Amino acid sequence: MCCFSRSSFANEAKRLLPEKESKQKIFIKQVLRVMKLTTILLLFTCLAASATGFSQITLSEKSVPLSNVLRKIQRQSGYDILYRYELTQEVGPITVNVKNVPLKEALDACLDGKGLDYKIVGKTIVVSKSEQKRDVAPAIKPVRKEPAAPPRINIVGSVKDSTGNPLAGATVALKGTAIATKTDANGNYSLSIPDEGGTLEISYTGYNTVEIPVSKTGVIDAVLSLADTRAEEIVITAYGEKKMREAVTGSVTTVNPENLRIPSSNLTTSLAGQIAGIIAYQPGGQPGYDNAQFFIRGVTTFGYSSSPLIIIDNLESSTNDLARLQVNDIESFSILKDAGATALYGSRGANGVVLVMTKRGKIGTPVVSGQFDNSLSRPTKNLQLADPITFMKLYNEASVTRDPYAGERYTADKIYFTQQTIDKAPGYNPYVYPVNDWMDLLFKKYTNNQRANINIRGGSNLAKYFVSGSYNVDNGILKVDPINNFNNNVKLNSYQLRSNIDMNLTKTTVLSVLLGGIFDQYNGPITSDPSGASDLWNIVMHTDPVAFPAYFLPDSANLYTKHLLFGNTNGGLSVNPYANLMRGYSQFYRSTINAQLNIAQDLKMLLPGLKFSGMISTTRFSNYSINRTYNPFYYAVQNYNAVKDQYSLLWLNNVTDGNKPTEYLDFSRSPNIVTSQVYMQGVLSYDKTFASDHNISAKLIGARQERVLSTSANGTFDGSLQGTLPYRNLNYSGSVTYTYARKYITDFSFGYNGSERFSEEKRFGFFPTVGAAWVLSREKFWQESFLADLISSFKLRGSYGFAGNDNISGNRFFYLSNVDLTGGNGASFGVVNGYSRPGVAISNYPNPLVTWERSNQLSLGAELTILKDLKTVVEVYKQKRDNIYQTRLPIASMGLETGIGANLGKAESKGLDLSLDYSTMVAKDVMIAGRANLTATQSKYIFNEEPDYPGEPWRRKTGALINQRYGYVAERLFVDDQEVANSPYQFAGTMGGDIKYRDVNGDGQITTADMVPIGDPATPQITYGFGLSSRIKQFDIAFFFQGNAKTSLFINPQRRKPVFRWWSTGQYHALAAGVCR
Amino acid sequence: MLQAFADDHWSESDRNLYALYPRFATASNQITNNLQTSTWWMRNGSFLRLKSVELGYSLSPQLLQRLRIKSLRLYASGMNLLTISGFKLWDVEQGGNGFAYPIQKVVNIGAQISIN
Repeated sequence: MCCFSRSSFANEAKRLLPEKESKQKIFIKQVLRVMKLTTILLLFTCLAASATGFSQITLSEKSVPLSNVLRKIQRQSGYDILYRYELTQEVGPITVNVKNVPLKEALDACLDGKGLDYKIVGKTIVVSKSEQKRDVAPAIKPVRKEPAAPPRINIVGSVKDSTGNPLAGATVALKGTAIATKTDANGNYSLSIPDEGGTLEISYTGYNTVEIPVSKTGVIDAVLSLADTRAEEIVITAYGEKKMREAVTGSVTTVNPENLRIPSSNLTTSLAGQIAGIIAYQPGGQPGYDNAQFFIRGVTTFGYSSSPLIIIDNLESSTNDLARLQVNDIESFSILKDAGATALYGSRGANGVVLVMTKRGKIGTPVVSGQFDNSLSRPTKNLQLADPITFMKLYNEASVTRDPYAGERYTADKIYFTQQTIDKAPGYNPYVYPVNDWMDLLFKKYTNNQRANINIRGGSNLAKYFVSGSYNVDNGILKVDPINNFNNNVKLNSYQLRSNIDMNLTKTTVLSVLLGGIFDQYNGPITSDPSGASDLWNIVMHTDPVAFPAYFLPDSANLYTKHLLFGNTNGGLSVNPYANLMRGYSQFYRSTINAQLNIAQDLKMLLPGLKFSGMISTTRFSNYSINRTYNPFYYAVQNYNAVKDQYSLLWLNNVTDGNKPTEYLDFSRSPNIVTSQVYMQGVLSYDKTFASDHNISAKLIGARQERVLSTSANGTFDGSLQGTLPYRNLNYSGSVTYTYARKYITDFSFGYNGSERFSEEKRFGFFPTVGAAWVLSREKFWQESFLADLISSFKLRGSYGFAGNDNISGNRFFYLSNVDLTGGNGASFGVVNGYSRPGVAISNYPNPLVTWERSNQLSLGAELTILKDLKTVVEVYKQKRDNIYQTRLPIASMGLETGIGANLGKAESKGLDLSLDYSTMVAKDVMIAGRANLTATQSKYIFNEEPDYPGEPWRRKTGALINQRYGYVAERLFVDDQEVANSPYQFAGTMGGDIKYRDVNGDGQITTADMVPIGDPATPQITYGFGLSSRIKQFDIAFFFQGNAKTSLFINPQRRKPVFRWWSTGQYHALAAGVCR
Repeated sequence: MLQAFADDHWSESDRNLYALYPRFATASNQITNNLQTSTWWMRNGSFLRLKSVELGYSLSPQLLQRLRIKSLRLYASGMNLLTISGFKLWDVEQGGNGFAYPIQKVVNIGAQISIN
C-alpha cells in the first residue's frame, strides 16, 4: 500500500498507541513495519497519492475487492487508510453504491456487516476487526454476511490425482468468491456455500485446475491431471519475461527442465537432442573437463566467437556456471534463436541466447525437497590394444618393411620369453621380460559418484524464499598406488548454494535478493595437455608394452627405499605411463559467487500497466591452481643370470641437476585467475489492453556491464596496459508489441549498443528487428470449419532483423595503436658494440574503421496443435553474417610488424528446427508422452579473405562449409614402389602400401594445391533426439535416444602413429619437470 | 597399438590396397605421406545413442502420510547405455579426440523426497 510510505502517518500512529489497548498488538506490528519501510521506501514516496480535500464520496462498485474500494475512498477523501490486507481478503468482493455522501457514510456502507470496524484519527482512517468477529471458525473461510442470507448447502467430496491417490491440501473454492477450503489428509473436503449454484474451482500445485458446476446432489469428486506440459505453454523470453507462447513472434524454445534430468553432474551434457535449435556434442568424459560443446542453430560464423550468450537469472554466465546448475533449481530453460527473440540483448545475442531462470519461493508452508543419487560410471568404450607379442612382431615388421637392413628390434628370444611371462611358463621373469597391460595398470574398470540436492521453498504474502544446496562428487577412473600418500585420481567435489528471496515491500514493490555460489574443488593427475584434461590415454597408446616393467618390487639392495621403483629403458629414458600417473597431482579451487539485488515496482498509480525493475549485481570468479609433483626414480634390470634367475637393479637417473629424482613433492603454482563483473540493468515495461481487443506492450531497457580480469582467460598475465583496463559494454534496447484480438501480433524491437572496442564513430551499433504472428485458429472461418477439430491451434509467425557481435577478435582496442618503445629488436653501436638502443615493437596499428560483426536473420515458424495432443513447432531460418573480422592477406608481406584486419568476411547459414510433443491419458491411470526434436543447419562461407586461386577454385573457402577440413583425396594404397615411381610425386620416402592421393589440378605432383574441402565439419550439422515416457499407476518409465549426423571424424594421423615410440629423451625431461606445454 | 590396426594393415605378404592402416613404419619422418590430412582418415561421425533411460516408483501417499512425507520416488536410471555407430575404435562422440578420457556410461539409483 502506498499509504504505508508516509512518514507523517507513522508519527500519527505512534501517538495513538496508549489510547487503544485492544488494538495495541496489531498496531505495534504495523508501526514497526511502517517505520522500517519508511526509510527503505523514501525512494518511492513519489508514488504515494497526494490527494487533498474531497469530503464527498461517490462509489459505484460491483463485486470488487474491499481493498480496491478503500483505495478509492482514500483517493477521493484525501485521508490515509490503514488496514491489514488479509482482513480485506477475508471479506471477499463487495458491492457498494453511494453518491456524494460524507466520508463516514461511505465507510459505513462499505464495512457494515463485514465484521470490520473503523476509527478516524486526524487525517487517518484505521480499519480493524470488530470485536464480535473474533470467534469465527477458521476452517471454512468466513462468508460475507448479507442481511437476507440465502439458504446454504453443504458440498462434500474428494480430490484425487489421475492415479487414484488422494490429494491432501488441494484448494476447493467457489469461483468468484472467497469461499474456499482445503482437502484433508485423505483428500476429502466439505464446503458450505450459498444455495445459488455456481462453479467449484479445484486446484493443486503442479496439477491442472478443474472447474465443476455445483450439483444438487451435494457430492463433487474431482480428479486432477498432472500439469506436465504447462511449462511449454508459457515461454520465457528476453530478460526473463513470461509470455504466452501465442503472443511471441520471435523464435523461442522453452524446455521442461525435467527433460534435462540425466544421471550426470554436468547439465551441458544433457542438452543435445532435447531442445530444437541446439547442436551439441561432448568431446570428453573427464570430470571437470567434460563440458559439452553447444551452439544455437549451429556454428553460424567463422569469426572469433560462435558461442551463445548464457544468461542465468539475467546475468551473463560462463559455461561452467551452466554445467553446475542443478535441474532441481531450474524454473525455466529457454533458448532464444532468432533476431526477434534476441533483439533486446543486442550486441551479445548474435550467436543466440541460453536463458535460465532459477526457482523462486512460493506462497505456502515450506516444502523441503531432496534428491540423492549414486552412480556407477565406466567408459562407453575402451580402446582395444594389441597384445605384446603382436606388438613386437609388428614392430619388427615395421622396421624391416621400410629398410631391409634396419634389423629387428625384438629378438626371437625376447619374444619367446615374453610369451613365457604371459603364460607364467618356465624361464619367465616379469621384470626381465616385462609385459604391461597399460590400460589395466592405469585405469579402473568403473567408478562411483554421488550427488545430493536439497531445497526449501515457501513463503507468505510478505516474502517468498527458495534456498537450495547441492553437493556432487565425481571420481575418475584412474588407479592410485598405495605407496603414494596422496590421491592422483580425478575427484571433483562441487558445492552449490543458492538463495532466492523476494520481499513484498509494499503491494506494488518487490525487492529480490539472489545469492548464488558455485565452489569446485578438483583433484586430478598431472598432465601436459594445455586444456588440463589427462593425456594418459595418448601416452599409453604410444608406449612400448614390453620395454620395461611399470615398477619393480624392491630387491635386496632396495628393501628400505621409500619411493616407488619405476621401470624405464637403460640408455636414454622414455616415458613410463605408470610413473606419469603416480608422480603427483594437480588441484584447482574454483569459486563463482554472485549477488544480485533486484527491485520491481509496479507503477500503476502513475499509469496502469507500467512497471519498472532495476537490478544491480556483481559476480566474482576466482581460480587457484597448484601442481604437486615428484621426479620419479627409474630403474632397469642389470646382470641378469637366467640360470639362477637373479638380477640387480640399476638406478638410471642418478643425476644432480634439476631433474634429480625426489622422494618429496615439489610444487608449482599457476597465476591466480580473478574476475570481477558488475552488471546493472533497468527495465521499464508497459502492458495494457484497451477496449478488450487491443493490447500494447512495450519495453525500454538500459544495461551496462563491466568486467575486470586479473589474467587473460587462459590464466596467463596480460602484461600490457590494455589487459588491466576494465572491459565495458553498454546496451540500450526496446520493443513495442501490438496485439489485436489475440489474433494478429506485430512487434518491433531494437538494440542500440556501445562497445569499447570500436572508435567513437563506429562504437554504437543499431540493430532493429520486426516480427509478426497470426493465430489462424482464432479466426472465425477456422473455428467454424472442420479444421478446428483436426488442428485446434495454429499460429504462423516470422521475424526479420539484425543482431550484432563485438567479440570479433582477441584484439582489445582496434582504434588505438599499441606500441612498445623498448620491446623490439635493438641495435648496438660503437667499436665494441658498447652502446645499445632498444627497438620499437608494434602490436596494433590503429584502425578506426573496424566495427560490429552483423547478423541478418529471417526466421519463419508454424506452431500447431494437432488432434488436441500433438504439439508441433516447425521453423525455418536463414541467417547472413557480414562484417566478420579478418586479417587482410596482401598486406602481411609488406613489411608491417603485425597484421591489419577489417570487417570483410561473410557467411550464410540456413536450417530447420522441428519439435513434436505428445501427451495423453490412455486410461484412467496410464499416461503416455512422447517427444522428438530435430535441429538441422548448414553454414557456408560467402566471402573469405583469400587469394583468387585462378584455375583452382576448390582451394577457395568461399562456398565451402564453415569448419570443413581441407585435405587430400585418398584413392587407395600404392600397390608397390613401381607404382609410386610412375605416379605424380607425393612426399619424400613414399613406398608401396602408402596412401595414394589424387592429383586434383593435374600438374603431376601432389602439393597443397591438391587439397580440397572434404567431409562434413567436426561440429555436427544435425542433432536430434526422441523419447517416450509413461506413467502407469505408481510406476513410471522413460527413455530417450539422441543422435548426431552430418559430421565427420578424423583419425588424427599425427597422434595415432601405431608402432614407433612417441617419446624421446628430451621430451621426457620436459614432462617430468611439469613444464611441457 | 590399436588392435584394429594390428588386424588390418598393409603388409608385404598381404597387399590389401584398402587396408585400415597403410604400410607400417617406426619413425614419423618415414611416413610424412601418410600423416597428411586426407579422406583416408575420415570417418562418418554420425551416431544414435540411448542417452537416458529411467524406471521409477512412487510410494503411495497413504503410506507416506503416516511418515509425514509428501512424496517419495525411488528410481533407477542409466545414461549412454547403448550407442549405434559405424565407428568402432572409440566413442564416436569424442570425434578426433579418441585417445583421451572416455565418455562415461552410467548406471544410477536415486531417490526424490518431498516433505511438507
